[in-house]
Amino acid sequence: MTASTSTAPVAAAELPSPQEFADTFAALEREIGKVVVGHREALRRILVAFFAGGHVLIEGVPGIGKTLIVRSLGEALNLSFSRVQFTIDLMPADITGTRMLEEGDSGRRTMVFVPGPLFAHIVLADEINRATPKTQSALLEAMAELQVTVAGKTHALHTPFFVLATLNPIEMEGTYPLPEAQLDRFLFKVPLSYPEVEELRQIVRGTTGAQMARISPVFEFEPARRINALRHLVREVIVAPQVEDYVAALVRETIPEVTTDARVKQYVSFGSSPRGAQALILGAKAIALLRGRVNVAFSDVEEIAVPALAHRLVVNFAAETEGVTARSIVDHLVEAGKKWQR
Amino acid sequence: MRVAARLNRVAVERALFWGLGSALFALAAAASLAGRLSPAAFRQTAVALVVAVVAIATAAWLAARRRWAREVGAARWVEARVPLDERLLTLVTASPAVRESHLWSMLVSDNRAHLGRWAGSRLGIPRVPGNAAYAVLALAAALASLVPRWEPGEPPPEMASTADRDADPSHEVDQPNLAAVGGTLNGGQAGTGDRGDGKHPQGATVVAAIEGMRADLARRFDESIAAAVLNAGTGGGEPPEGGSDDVQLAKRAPNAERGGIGQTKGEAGGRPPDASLARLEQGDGSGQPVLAPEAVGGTGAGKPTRGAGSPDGSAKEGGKGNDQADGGNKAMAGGRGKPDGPTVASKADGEANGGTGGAGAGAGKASAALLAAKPLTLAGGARQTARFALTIGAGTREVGPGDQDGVPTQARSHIADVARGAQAADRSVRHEEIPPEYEAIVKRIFAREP
Repeated sequence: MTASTSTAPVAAAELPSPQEFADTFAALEREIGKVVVGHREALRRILVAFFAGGHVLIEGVPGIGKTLIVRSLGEALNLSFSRVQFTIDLMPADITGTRMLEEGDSGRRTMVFVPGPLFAHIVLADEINRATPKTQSALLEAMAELQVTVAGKTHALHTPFFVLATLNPIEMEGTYPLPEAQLDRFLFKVPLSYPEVEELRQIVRGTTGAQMARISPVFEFEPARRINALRHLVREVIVAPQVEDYVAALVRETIPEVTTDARVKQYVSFGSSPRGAQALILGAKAIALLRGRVNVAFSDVEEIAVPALAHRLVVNFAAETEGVTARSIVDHLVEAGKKWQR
Repeated sequence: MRVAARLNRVAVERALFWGLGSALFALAAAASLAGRLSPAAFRQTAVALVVAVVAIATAAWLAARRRWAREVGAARWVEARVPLDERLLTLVTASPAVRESHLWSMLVSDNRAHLGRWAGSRLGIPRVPGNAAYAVLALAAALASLVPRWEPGEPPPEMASTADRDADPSHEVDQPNLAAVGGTLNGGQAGTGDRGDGKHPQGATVVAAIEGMRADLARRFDESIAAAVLNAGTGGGEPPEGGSDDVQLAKRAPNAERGGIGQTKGEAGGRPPDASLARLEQGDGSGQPVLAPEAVGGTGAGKPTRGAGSPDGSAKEGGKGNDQADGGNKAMAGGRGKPDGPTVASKADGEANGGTGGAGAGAGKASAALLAAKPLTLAGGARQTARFALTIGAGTREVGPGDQDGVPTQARSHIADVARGAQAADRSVRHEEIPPEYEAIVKRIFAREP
C-alpha cells in the first residue's frame, strides 16, 4: 500500500505542532524556490506527497527542471539524495544493490552487500519508462515495501524514503510505459509545464551568472527524525466520517461499472483503486495542516483530487479521439460530487 | 445542542402553525357556509374541510419529522452558513477512536476559537416561523366568522340564566311589566299577570329578549302616536291607586270620565259625566278609557277613526252594562279603582292585542257602530297624526229643538244588545297565543314603518 510504512511511531511529546509543520513547509518552499523558478504548484504538491509519505511521478519534457527540483529538495531537507538514470539495460541489482566478493585485510574474501542508489532518502528515477518492466518492478517494490531483497536477504531502506520518478512524454520509442498497476503506486502524478516568459528570464539570469544560488538546509540536525515526526503529524489529522464518505463516493464514481456519471461511463475504461482513496485522504490531511487545521475539510480533498486520481484512471479510445483527458474527468467528478458533501 | 434545539423548535412551531391555521380557516369557512348551503351540501363541505385539515396537519407533522435536526444535522446547518471548514462537523461526528488522536484537543480548542465567528449569530434560524402570518390570518378569519357582531350602540341582550334570575331579586321588579307579554309567550293568560312558568327550556333567553324588546317598545311607544294622543288627552287624571300595571291606565281613566260616557256605578268617587267634555273628547279622537281585562266589549272598539262620530247617548245603556263595564267605570270615576289587570292601549292602526279592550269601556259596550269608518293608515307620506276617535253608537234619542247642540245628554250603550258572543270572542282573542310574527309587527308599528 502506498506509504503504509513510511512513518515510524512518534511519541506524543515529540509530535510537532501544526504550526511547526506549516512553518517547515513554507521554509522548504522558500529554499527550493531559490533555485527552482516557477513550478510553485508542482513543488507544493511534491512537498505534500513527501510529507504524506507517498511518491511522486513527475511528467515533463526534458530540461524543464525535474532533476533540479529533486536535488534541491534533498539539499533543503538535508537528506541523502541519489539519482538513477533509467535505461533499457538497467538491471534491478543496479538500483537495489548487489552482493560482491570483497577481500579483507587478512586476505579473506567474503560476500558483502553493496547498497544501490535506492538506499538514500530521496531517489530520482529519471525517465523511469525507459527501463524494463523487471527493473521498474524492483523499484516499485522498494517504494511500496521500503525494503529490498537481495540474494535472499532483506535490507530495509532509509526512512524517510521518497522516490521522484520522471516521465518523458514525447519520446515514447524504445520505452516501456508503466502499467496501471505500477502507476497506482505513486501518490501523485504532477505534470510540469513550460515556464512562463518571466520565469524563463529568471532561470537564465540565475543559472548563467557568476554566482549561483545556494540552498540552506531547513533541518540542521536530525532531519530524518524530524521529518518522520512531521509525517506522523499528518497521519494524526482528524477526518470526519462525512469527509470519508465523500472520498469514497468520489473514488467509487470513477469506476465505470458502478458509476452514475454518464461521462465516466462513456470515456473511462478502468477507474481508481482503493489506493486512490488513500491518496486523497493522506494528501488532504497534509493540505489541512498547511491551512492551519487539524481536521480535513471537503475543500482539502478537492484540491488534491486531480493529482491523486487522474493517473489512476484509464480512459478509452473514445476519450483519446475526442480529446477527453482523465484530468478533465476528475474535475468533472469533483464538480458533480459537491452534492455528496452535504 | 443549542442550534439543534432552535431548529427543532422552529420545526415544531411551523407544524403547529400549519395545523392550527388550517383548522381555523376551516372553522371560518364552515361558519360562513353554514347559512348558505343546504344541510347535505354543508355536511359534504364539512367532511371535505376536515379531510383537508387532517391532510395538512399530517403533512406538516411529517415535514417537522423530516426536518428534525440532531447534532449532525445542526452541525451541517451551521457548516452550510458559517465557513468552519468542517471543524464542527468533525467534532460532532468523530468516532471514539478518532477522539483519542493527539490532535483532538487541538481541534476542540481550534473550534472554540472560531466560536466567536458564529456563536452570536442565529444562522438564519428565524425566531418565528414564516408561516406565523398564516396562523394569524386564520385566527383573524375565524374571529370574524365565529364571533357575533353587534350594531354600534346596541347592547347585546342579557343572557341571564333561569337560575340567575331566580337568585337575583332585582329581576322581580320588572316582572309585572313582563307579565302580559311573557305570560303570553310562555303560555300564560294574557292580561292576568300570569308570567308563565318560567321553566321553559328557553325561558331565560326568551325573557332576556323580551326585556330588551320591552325596553325598545317602551321607548318607541313614548315617541309614538298613541303616546302623543294619550298625553294630549290627559287632563289631570291621577294614576289609580293600588299599583296599576300600566300607568297609562291611570291616564286614560280620567279621560273616559271627562268623556262623560255612560253612567257609572262608581259615581261616589267620580264626577258626573259632562257632555261637553265628551264632545271635546270626541273631537280629539282620543281619551278612550281602558277597561279591565274582562271588558269584552272593548275588543274591537279600539280602532280609531279620524275624529269621526259623536256620542249618541247610548252610554245610558252602558250604565246598566255588565261587570266589565263596571270595571272601567270604576276607574273612570276618579281613578281610584284598581284595575284587574294590565292593559295595553289601542294601537294606531286599530288592531287590538291581548291587553286591549279599553276602547269603549267607558260606554260599557262595543258594537259595530263604534268602529271607525276609515281606519288610520300610516302608509307613506310624512308623519301622520293619528287621532283616536271614540264613536259611541249608543245615541238613539231624537235630538229635540231644545237641545243646543244635539248632543244626547245620556249615552246609551248597546253592547248588551250585541249579545255575549262578542264577549266570548274577545275572551278567545285574549287567550289566543300571540304568534311570533306579532312582535315584528308591533315593532314596525311603533317605529312608524310601513
